[in-house]
Amino acid sequence: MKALTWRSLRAALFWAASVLVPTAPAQDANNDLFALFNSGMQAFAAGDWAGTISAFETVIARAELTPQMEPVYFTIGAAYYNSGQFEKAATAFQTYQEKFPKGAQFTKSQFALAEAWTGAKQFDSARAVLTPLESNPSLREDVLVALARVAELEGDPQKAIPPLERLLANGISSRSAARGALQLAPLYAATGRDRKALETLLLLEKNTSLIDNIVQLNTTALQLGDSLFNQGEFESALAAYRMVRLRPQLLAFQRERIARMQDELAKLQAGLRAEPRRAPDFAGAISALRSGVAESERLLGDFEKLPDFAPGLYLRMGRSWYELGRRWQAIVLNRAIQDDYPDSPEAATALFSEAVAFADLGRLDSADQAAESYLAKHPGGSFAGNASFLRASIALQRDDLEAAERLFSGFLQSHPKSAYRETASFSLAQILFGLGRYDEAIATLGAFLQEFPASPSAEDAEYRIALAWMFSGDIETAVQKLTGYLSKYPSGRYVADARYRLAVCEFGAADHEKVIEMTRSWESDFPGHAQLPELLSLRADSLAALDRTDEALAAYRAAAESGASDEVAGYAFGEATKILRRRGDWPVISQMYESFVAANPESQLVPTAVFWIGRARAATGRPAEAIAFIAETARRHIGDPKREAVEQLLTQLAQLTAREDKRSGVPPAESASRLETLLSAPGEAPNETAEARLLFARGELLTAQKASRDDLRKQIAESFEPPVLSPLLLGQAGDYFIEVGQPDRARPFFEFLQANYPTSSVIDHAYAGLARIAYDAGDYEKALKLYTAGTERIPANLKLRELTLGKGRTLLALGRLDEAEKIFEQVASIREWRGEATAASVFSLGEVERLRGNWSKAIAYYQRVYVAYQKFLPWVAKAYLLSGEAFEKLGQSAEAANTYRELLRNERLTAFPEFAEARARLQNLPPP
Amino acid sequence: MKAAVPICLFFASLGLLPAQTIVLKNGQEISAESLRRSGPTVFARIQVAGGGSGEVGHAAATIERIEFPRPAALAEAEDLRVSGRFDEALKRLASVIDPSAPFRDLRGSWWAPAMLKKVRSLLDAGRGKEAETTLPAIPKAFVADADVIDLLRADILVQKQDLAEADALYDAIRKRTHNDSVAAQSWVGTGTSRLAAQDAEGALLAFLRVPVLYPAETNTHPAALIGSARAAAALGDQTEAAAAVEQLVTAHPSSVQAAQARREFPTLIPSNEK
Repeated sequence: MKALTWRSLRAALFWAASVLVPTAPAQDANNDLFALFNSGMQAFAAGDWAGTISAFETVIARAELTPQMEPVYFTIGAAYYNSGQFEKAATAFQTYQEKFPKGAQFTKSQFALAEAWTGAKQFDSARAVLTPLESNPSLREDVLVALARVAELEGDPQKAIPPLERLLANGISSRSAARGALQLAPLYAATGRDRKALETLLLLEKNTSLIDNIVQLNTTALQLGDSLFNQGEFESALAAYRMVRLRPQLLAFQRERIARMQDELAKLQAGLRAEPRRAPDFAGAISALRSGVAESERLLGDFEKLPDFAPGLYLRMGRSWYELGRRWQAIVLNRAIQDDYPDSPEAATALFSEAVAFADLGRLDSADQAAESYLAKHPGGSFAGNASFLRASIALQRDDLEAAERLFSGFLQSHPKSAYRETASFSLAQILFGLGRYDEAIATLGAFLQEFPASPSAEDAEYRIALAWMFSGDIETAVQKLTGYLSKYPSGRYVADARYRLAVCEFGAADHEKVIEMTRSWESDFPGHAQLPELLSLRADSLAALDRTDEALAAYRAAAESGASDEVAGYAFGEATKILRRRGDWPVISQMYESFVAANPESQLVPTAVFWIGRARAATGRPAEAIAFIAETARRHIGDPKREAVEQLLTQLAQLTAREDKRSGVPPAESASRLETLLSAPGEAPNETAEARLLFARGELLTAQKASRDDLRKQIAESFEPPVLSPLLLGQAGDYFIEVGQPDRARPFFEFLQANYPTSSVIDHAYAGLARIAYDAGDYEKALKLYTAGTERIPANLKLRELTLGKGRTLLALGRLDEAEKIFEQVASIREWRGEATAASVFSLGEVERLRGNWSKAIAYYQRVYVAYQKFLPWVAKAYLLSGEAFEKLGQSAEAANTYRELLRNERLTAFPEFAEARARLQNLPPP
Repeated sequence: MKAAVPICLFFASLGLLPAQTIVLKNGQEISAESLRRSGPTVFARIQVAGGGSGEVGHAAATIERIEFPRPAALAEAEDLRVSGRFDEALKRLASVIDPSAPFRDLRGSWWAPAMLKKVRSLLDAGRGKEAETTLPAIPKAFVADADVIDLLRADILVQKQDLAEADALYDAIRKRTHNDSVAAQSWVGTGTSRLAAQDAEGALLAFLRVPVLYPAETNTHPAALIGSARAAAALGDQTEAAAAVEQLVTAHPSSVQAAQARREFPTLIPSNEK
């Protein structure tokens, strides 16, 4: 409880001191009384309440009741109060009021009496005294604070709110009001009126100079922030948290306050020195300030011992920002914790929170980096499981299935009891499925169903098992599983797909009549279903297989024209075109594509359609019309790099133009300018994409002139930035830089192609190019990822051979000989790839055996190379040399020498480094 | 030591600084009508008994500080700089720098603060080379917070594209400063440097430190907010860019950065702020 200080009594005592100073010749009795009065006064100033009481009781007992005695009666009450004798204080103040009803301190005594009753826990008496005092302007603020305190002490804090609200009705302009506000805010919060509490604190925040106890403001603001956060009031929670002062600010605030008090104290002391006669007056104020400074210094000492709460505060603020959807701001706060308080317990949470916020923002690299850093720094931390799961999910989101598989497997092993186990298990199975590792996918899905039979993903799991059997080539089991799925989930999500797949299985079994029957039944059961085009296309395939070409043609056209995806429409049109070309029915081809273009003017297939329309017109003796028609479409799309088939049109246009020009005797040099005129819109400058394509078109005119074509390729590669080039030109530009040994210049073209045209028909250029760059740089892991993705996860066309061979070479470089061997055997066995790829594969099979130390087997492969693939000299040279070396390893020097000599006899090999090497080896062979 | 040199010469006050108080190291305070400097001596024109005025000379070494009135031109120049009127700002600053130059080594002189503002104005005006040649003229000893000089030095490095060196300097400043204003400005500098280095993520996180952790440093907010908008836009985060632009044009509508935002991000300006 607050002491009644000398400050409040100063005026009264100064007056008392002056009236008791004897002005006439001193009398002994008076002198004694004066001495007693002085000693009582000094005792009070020194906080010696017992001394004050003892002196003033004697004065009261011995002195007559005169007006001069008023301060004594008042001060003794104060001394009782300050010594904790509240009931005696109350009696003393009541006596004062009885004796001095018109006394100068009467009003103050009323307030003091109320304080004494409060101290004595006589709350009704206190309230009875305080209530009428509220109307006294000089006491109003103190009275309202006192009324609130009475209510709180009574255990009914709600009753404290009305007086405090009256106190703050006109704002905060005094220390009492500031104290009241600090009292009111938690009362509001305790009754769920957090917004009112916040408003009160915000009002207080504007008047911090009036606050005595800044720590109380901090505590209230922090608690209020937490309460608001828990209620989902994140904006308000942030406002509350922002009011919390950090430790350095708190210390500075308190030091400033102490300095101000010390300054005031120094001024008082200077005043005392200047006017020693006024000592009684100054003594009280000095005493009050000294105790104030001491109290403030004690508080400062407490503040200094406080732990730094900034990390906890930042974490709270970060969460509030996060909940408000402002992830960047949340990251800023989490970073601040890690930067400024790296050893705090909150640093780990902050790091994980950062990872989550980055992941939410789609900043996957940063999210993964933060999660990885968390796991490295806090492998056993509370969020280790979550961080592992997050990393795996990020890998999946990045479509890096190999990494995702590794990370999910690791997660499931390290955190067998995690709440994410179900999701992780199913994700892992899906990944294995996506990687084409169907056996493992089937096993993982089976285990998943056993562990989580009631999972919402159970139906998906069962269906995927059926698909995995199908894709792994076990059609019999697939049919069994698909049928099982249909009987278990007759209204399941995948019923239509399952029945389509069953029809596909029948197609695989060449039971075309059954396919036709099944697809008709499907069509009637799922009218308007999104898979209808695929189904019609399947039926058309069966009809075509049965040579029912009219029906097949109708079905293909129906498939293409029933809202099919570009992929299905492209296939169906292609098959229909094949039938029509066999019949030589160019007018129908033209009509078919013309109606498609009319109905789908924005389709990506338009250039393809135009290509066929042009061919149809040329084939029906209307080449000029075909040229004009194709040129018109090419011109419309030539500036749009996303229109992939434009190059196809340009090739066709170049061929038609060259043929027509040759027929009509136009010199080849003029063909190029005629082509450019055809492709240029009158009065319109071509954009960069069009410029690049015009160079491409010129190149297509020069089919027989490799050097000139290469020069045009170089121009395209060196003159244009990736964003302006079409997918095909990106691939060609990248390939050009690879060929000339500038992988760093090739990379941006491939990366742009990979990132921006993932479904392009030439996307394989990007994978093959980037994989080659990684392989040449010795980054075999990265190369393997790219080669694997290129062979298994994208529709590789032109580059499939290069990708497959590259994967084998990379596996060889990684020492994964069994896997490499399988791939080289596969390449060597594909008839369509006969040629250098076969030579390279056979040679590589020799390498596999050489690395296994199987010298004889290696020699057999090497010999196959230089016997069967003599055309491919680089491989022949290598094969001779390594074959010789293998003979040496076997100790067969004569055979080795023969092999080297055979190499040296081949004049076509003289320029190869192996030639000199063979000569040297021959010389170094031991004599027979 | 001879503390004061009374001289009873009467000068016209041409070119002298107006009313100020000299506080000597011995605690004595002298109210002067004007001051002038001659070598190691500061001459104060004071009122003398019976009317009139005379000059008293004080050795500069005996002066604790001089309480010059804050020149209005300093605040005016800051307003002009913030609104992008750099030439006018520099003229205003010259009106402070030139007369206070003789007192540049004395505590309380407005020379160093005005020079710092001059360097800042030159930098903002894109006159990095002039800023670079001007900055070394300000001795660290004349500046209340020497980090401010390093901050300007780092900003000059950013304009010169010496980004790694600038980043290191900003980090060093932050490690030692207790001044929120300096810390906030250093984050703006880091953000600008990161943006120049095409590190939009690093830039955004640096710029956002200012409104998130230094809400009271409102002078730095416009630069931080336009930087945030640019970095967020570079990252393709239109939501964050729009939020920064909105805060910029509503909270600092007359700043040069708000005008820039209106030009750079016309589609992100809230309809009521267009």
